[in-house]
Order: sequence, then C-alpha cells, then structure tokens
Amino acid sequence: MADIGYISLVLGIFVALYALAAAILGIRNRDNRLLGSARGAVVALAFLTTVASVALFYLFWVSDFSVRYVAENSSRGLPALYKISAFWAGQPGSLLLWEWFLAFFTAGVAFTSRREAKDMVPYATVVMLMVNLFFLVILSFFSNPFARLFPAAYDGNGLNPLLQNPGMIIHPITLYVGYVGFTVPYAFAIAALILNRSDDAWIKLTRRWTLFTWLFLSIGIIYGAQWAYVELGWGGYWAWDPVENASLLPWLTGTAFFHSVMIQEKRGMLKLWNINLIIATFALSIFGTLLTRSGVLASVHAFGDSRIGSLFIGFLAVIIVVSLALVYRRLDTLRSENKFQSYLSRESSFLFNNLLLVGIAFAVFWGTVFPLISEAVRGVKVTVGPPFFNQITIPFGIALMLLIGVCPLIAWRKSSVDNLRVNFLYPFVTSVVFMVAAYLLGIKHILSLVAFATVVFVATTILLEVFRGVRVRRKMTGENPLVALVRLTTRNRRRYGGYLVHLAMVIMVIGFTGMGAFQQEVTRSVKPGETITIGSYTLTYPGLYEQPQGENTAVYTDLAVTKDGKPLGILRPEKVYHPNHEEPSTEVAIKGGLKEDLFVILAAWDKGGIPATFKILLNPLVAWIWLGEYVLIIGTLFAFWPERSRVRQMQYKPAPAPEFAQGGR
Amino acid sequence: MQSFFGKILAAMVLILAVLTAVAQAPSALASTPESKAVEANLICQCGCTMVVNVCDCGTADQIRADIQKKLDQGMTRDQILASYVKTYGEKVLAAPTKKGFNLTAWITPFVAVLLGAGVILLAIRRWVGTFRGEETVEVNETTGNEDLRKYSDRLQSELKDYL
Repeated sequence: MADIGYISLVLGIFVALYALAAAILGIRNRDNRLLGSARGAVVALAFLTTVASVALFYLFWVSDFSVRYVAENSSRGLPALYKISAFWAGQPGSLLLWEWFLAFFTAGVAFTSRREAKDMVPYATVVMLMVNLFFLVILSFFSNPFARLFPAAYDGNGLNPLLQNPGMIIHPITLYVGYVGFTVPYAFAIAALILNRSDDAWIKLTRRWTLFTWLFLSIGIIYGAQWAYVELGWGGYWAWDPVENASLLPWLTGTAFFHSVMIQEKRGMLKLWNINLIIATFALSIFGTLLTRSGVLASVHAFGDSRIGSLFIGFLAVIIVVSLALVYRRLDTLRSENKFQSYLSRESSFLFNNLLLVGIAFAVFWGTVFPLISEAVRGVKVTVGPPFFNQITIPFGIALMLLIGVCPLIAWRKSSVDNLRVNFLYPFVTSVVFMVAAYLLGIKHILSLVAFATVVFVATTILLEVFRGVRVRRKMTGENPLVALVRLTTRNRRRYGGYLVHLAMVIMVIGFTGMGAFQQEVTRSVKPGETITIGSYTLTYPGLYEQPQGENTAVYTDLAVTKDGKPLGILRPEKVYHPNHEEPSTEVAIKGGLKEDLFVILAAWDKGGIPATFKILLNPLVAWIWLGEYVLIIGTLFAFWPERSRVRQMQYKPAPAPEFAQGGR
Repeated sequence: MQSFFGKILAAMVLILAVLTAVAQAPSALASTPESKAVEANLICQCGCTMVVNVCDCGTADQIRADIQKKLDQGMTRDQILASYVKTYGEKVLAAPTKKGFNLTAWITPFVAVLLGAGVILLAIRRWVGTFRGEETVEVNETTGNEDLRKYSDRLQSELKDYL
C-alpha cells in the first residue's frame, strides 16, 4: 500500500505537468480540446492524491510500521480515532493533506461553469496547478510520507500526547482548508491580471470561495485556541507562538480583503489595493505553512523540519516577485473608476478598517520574525513573546472594534453630521453610561473599561440598526416583528450575516477582556482532607489514585467542589504517562459556565501523593470566546447562503452554454 | 424605542452584574504581584518557549523559587531580570528591551500604521479635491437645464433624508 501511495504522488507530478502543458497550449492556441484534456488531467490529479491519502489512512489503520512516518506517529495501542488523526500529526502527512485539498479545489476551479469566468478559468487553473506541482515535488522527494523504515519497527513511537485530543481532528483540517482555500481567489486575481481585466469579475467569482475559506480559517484558529486551553494545561488559550501567529496573519489580511472588495464592487475603487491584499493573503498562507513545517522559529508546535524551509522560502519568493511584476505591468488598468467625495464616507471608514487590520497583521508579522532580524543584524537571539504582542495589538484591536461599530452605519459616498448624530448618539451615550456605571461598581481596570465600553457601543449600533430596519419594514408592511425581522435579514443576507459576525467579535472580545483582566490563580500544596479556596469555590483533596488508560497510566484525583457551600460535583485533573514519551501530559479539569471556568491543574506531588500541588485558575467569561465562535459560524453561513431571489433566478436561468471543453477549435 | 432601550439597559445591568462578580480581588494565596511581574517577563529555559508564569515544568518551578528568593533578598524587578539576562542572554526575556536596536521592534508597527494613516489621509484629500473640481464643472454645464437642476436638487434632498 505504501508503494501505491508513493507511485500515486510521483504519477501526480507527471499528470500535473501534463495538465499544465495542455492548459498553457490550449490557452495559447485557443484549443478547447486541449483545455478539456487539461481539465480531465486535473480530475486525475484529484484522484491520485485521493489514492495517496487513502493509502496513508490505511497504513495508519493497520499500524504498518514498515513506513517511517507511521512508526513515528502511531502505535498499536493508539485509539482508532487517533490512528486517523495521526495522518496529519507530522510534516509529510500535513503536506499531503494540503495537497489533497488543493487538488480538489483545483478541480473545483477547472469545472467552474459561470459565464463570466469563461476566460479566467484556464489561467486560474494553471496557477493552481503550479502550486500543486510544488507540493507534489516536496512530497515525492523531500518529505515523503511513504518512506520505508528498515527494519520495520514492532511498535511505533505513538502519537504526541498533546495531539491526543478530539480538537486535533477538527483544528488542522479546518486550518488547512483555510490556508489552501486562499489559493483560489489568488489564482483568479492572477488570471485577471494576465488577462488585463480591471473589472470586479474575479472578486464576484471568488466571493463565496473567500468567505468559505475565511470561515474555515476562523474555525481552525478558534478550535486551535480551544485545544490549547484544554490540552496544553497552562490555563490560557493563546500564547503568541510563531505558529499561532502564522495562522492569524492570512486571517487578518483576508478579513481586510473581503471588506475592501465591497468598495471595488460598489464604487470600482481600490482595485490595486485588493489585488495586493489577496497576493499578501496567499503569500502569508504559504508563510504559515513554512513556519509550521520548517522549524525556522522555535515553537511549542515542535513538528518542523528545516530541510524544506529553503524550498518554501524560494517558492514564497517566486510567488511574491511574479505577482508583483504582474501588478506593476497592469498598473494603468488598476486605477480607480471613481473618487472619494468626502472625508467622511463608508469608503474612507473602510480604508481605516483596512489600515488597522493590515497594521495588526504587520505588527504580528514583525514580532514573529524579529528574532531572525535581531540575530541577522546584531548576532543576538531575542524572544518576542506575549508582553510584546499584547502591548502592540490591544490598542489597535480596540480601535478596530470601534470601527466595526462605525463603518457599517456611515453612508456611502458622503456622510453628514446629522447622519452621525442619528446613528451614533444613542450607542455613544449607552457606552459612556456603561463605563461610568462599571467604574462606580468597582471595575477599575482602565483598559478593560475601555474595551467593555467599546463592545457595548458596537453591540448597540448593530442592535439599533436591526431594530430600525424592522421598524421601517413593519410600518410598510404591517408584519409582526418576527416576520419583519426574518424577511428583513433574509433579503440582505450579506449585510445581516456581516452584522452577526460583528456581533460574534463583540462576544469574543468580552471573553478576551474578562480572561485577560480578571483571571485569578491559586497554587497550593495540600494533604488528603485539606481544602483549597478560590473565589467562592472550595475544593477538597481526597488523595491521589492511579489507573490504566489503554496503553497509558493516569495519576488522578477526584476533587469535591462546592460553591458558596453548595456541592457542585467532582473534578478529576490527571497526569497521564505514555509509554513512549518521557514527560507526562496534563489533563486539566474544567467546570465552566458563561460567568467563569474553574480550571484545575494537577501540577505535582510528593512520593505517595502526600502532599499534592494544584494550580487552580478562575477564568472569567472565557466561554464567551467559544460562544462567539458559534455565532461567527452562523453569521458567515447566513451571509454565504444564496438569497431567495438569487435562488429563484438560478432556477429559471437557462443552462449556461458549454464554455471550456467543447466545440473544438 | 423606549422598550428597546429598556432591553438594552436590562442587558447592560446583566453584563455589569457578571463583570462586578468576576472582578473580585485576587486570592491571598496567589503568587505575589511582584513575583508575577517578574515571572511574566521571563521565558522558561526548558525549551518549551512558554512564559515562566504559565509553564508548569520543573525548570519553571525552579525559576519561580529563585525569583521569590531574590525578591526576599531585596532585589528589584529590573535587577532580577538583569541577573537572568547575564546568565542566559537576552533570549530569556519574554519581550525585547526598549533600547538600542530592540527599540525598532516596538516602534516599527506604530510608525507603519501612522505612515499608513498619513498616506490614506493624503490620498482622500487628493481624491476629494479632484472630485470637487469635477463636480463644479458638471454644475456649470447643467445651469442652463432648469428641469435637470430641479431633479438633481430633489434627488440630493431625498438622499439626504434617506441617509
């Protein structure tokens, strides 16, 4: 099976090369038969990468330790679920996952049948095939998941204990769909540049792709944070690790992109900026994979390998140079069709929204690579960690939140003082009243007060906007409030889906602020029968126990928890010892709600478990971060879903004429 | 509108109640603020790359104990950090110092955003200026056409009401 997998990858190179040649010749000679053949080859490529992926899944499933990658990341006693997720536990498997998704997305692009995409699809397919080719070469010759191990191991090293968490099944897949997905808008942008098309067709064509990609990247990032929270056992969810930062970078520029494309769609402006943003976003996706997989920077995500680092850097350089050269060549056609009419307009507010998003991305990028810069310039290694990122990004983040409230309510073209008064007076007053009341009630942490006042401002602007829409609709139609709300929002899904996503950000910022400013911690050693108190919780320690868990051994305790004297149940923090790993993994115990999480870590113990040391945290409002995630998913899907009128149009629209493969020369 | 604001007020009261409940003073059993302030500025040297105050490995425990010992001896936060830099080099600090070349790490993002804001303001100023010039020409051309002028005024007025 390993041979089948490897042969599929090598064959994939030839098939991709053929598809590239056929597509380029087809474009050059306007030969639809060749273009059709290229499209067939793309399907074959998707099939071959599927064969390779299924082969790797199979090798993990049957624990074939004659394959090095399987032996390094699995073991006979590993639960079945983790035998599947071990596929992407290391570098070769992750890169195969990248390539597998990319091959399917390439097929999706090659078969795009929309009329306005007719001329762009072959070019976009060529761009995507080149990216495919790069990953297939890496997989075949530099990071082969099917490389043999002689002699075969009797048992494998097992999966990294930190990766033995259900979150590790979802997080990498969603993150990779996010990374890979940005190849599609990038490919169409390059196609538009080559064809010298200055209209917004490439943006309209890829709007859903971009939204889909952004959604998955968002889910990947937040699931990663959730995984870190429950699995890494340090009580937080974001450590500003280089690999975490790498996932945030394309998310930030991608977010800026689908805000600024609205200006191009509405006003024919910012064409040059949008093209550059999507190039940056794609380049940052590759940069993210480079950071995760090359080990260029020290990271808690220790699955890098510097051998492929130089290849990724070269590929990144090619992407940037070629893309910017194309942009330079088309500068004339990328000029705006319209001009700003006022300093105060939706357009100008979006520009500042973009400035902050890209500014935060730059700050995170700069902080991430600064250790390399310092070493190159001074020869001195430095660390850039949470104190730096928090101090730099929090002020920008608060300003960005403020703009989230302001941007959607400022009129296009030209706004007025009256417009500002009508839209922002109540939210402003509400947030100021809130801030004063919170201060008087004892919240003295200035940054939190500002953050909470900002989210109150944003939430009020959003709710007021929806309320006004419903009120106008009720006046016009006499509908009841619920019907009016449903009809109002479903007739403009993009707008109200966007508001829901903004509301999700508000909810998440409440969580970030609560956790950041009001976290409490107690570290204490106790003997059996003794108690620990934190906030209104009391935990009673009964002693340590030991029990086998499959091939592992867990040391645990059952802490009886009470809150204000009322029993809340039992919390079981554990340390799990794995046969092939020196350090035990920490399994935290969490009792959570919307108000706070009681987070218990079994830190250490003396011989015989007397006494044991516990680190206990009260993490306020952390559940709001995860709650915000679900609102974000709902909001994005709401915006993603076709509007009713559009569905009807699609139903009655005659089938589009064959455009890509038929008709001959 | 009244009932709507009633709901907003109720929501505010709820959020305030939660906030005041969670914003209690830290427990007396937690690490001292002085110790935490030092721990939060040091990276654990076990290779995990985490900040000492959140790392739970043996190395971090030793560093925490050492910090407490140094604090008890009367050393200040800066003196303790300097002693760690002397032993491990600058990489032991969780963030670059704010002097010399390291200062560029701190100011570059702000300079970049300020420059960006300047460029945007200049661009908007230029665009708005050009637009006003074009607008003037258009008005001059249409002065002879009274109907069109009336229509334009009405459109502007309605747009204003709508906005």
